[in-house]
Amino acid sequence: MLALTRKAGQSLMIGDEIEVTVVEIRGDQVRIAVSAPREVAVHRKEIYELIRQENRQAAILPAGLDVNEILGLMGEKE
Amino acid sequence: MLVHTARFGAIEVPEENVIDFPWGLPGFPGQRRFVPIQHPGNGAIAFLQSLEMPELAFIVADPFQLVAGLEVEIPEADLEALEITSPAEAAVYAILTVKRGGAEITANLAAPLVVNTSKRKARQVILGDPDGGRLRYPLLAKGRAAEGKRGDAGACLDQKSGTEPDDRR
Repeated sequence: MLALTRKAGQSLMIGDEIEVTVVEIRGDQVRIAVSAPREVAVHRKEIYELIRQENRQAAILPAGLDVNEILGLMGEKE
Repeated sequence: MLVHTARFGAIEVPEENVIDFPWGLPGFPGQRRFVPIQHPGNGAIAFLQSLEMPELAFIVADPFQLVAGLEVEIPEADLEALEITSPAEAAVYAILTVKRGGAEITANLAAPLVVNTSKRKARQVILGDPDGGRLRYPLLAKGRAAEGKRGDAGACLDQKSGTEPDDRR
């Protein structure tokens, strides 16, 4: 992994289109600005991780799961 | 086209029903092509079947039918990436998670799937912090504390997102 030292106000480029700027350093927090094309999704890693794990779990459908039964139960709710 | 699925066997699906996820999905980065298979008994529910992995299918639902008064604001950057220019072109689905062998079902309202229905292009859009029960919004929970949990999540949804939006220009 590449590690670079930057000061507030300095940037780095990832490829030709992604610019990461250190906006502010205050105590143990760093404010970072990311300029990237619209297609590139930028998220805090812990949030991305939560979504990733939820997707993983959603993809595991219990064997022999009776979907009709579940849908019936969901219908009851209304 | 013939689609091989673990759940339904091989089924015939019109080519134009295929939805492309150019960026994959978190946890499944290589899975780009999916096809929705409508549930015959329930118009609000579909299986989103992967074309590349027969055993991969998500259960998805129209979140607006699941949660009365739900508002979803798609960030500008995602709309642009999906080339969505009018609300008529957008469809939103929530992935459902089935737990405890079907005793518990939750909907992921924190990261819905947004589809450009004319270009058949989609992305899972992460709407800020997945807190306040939006990630696992309970639809069905048999047994204890089910009612309480449902109430809590509803309250969290009402206050919209209490998170500071990341601005993107």
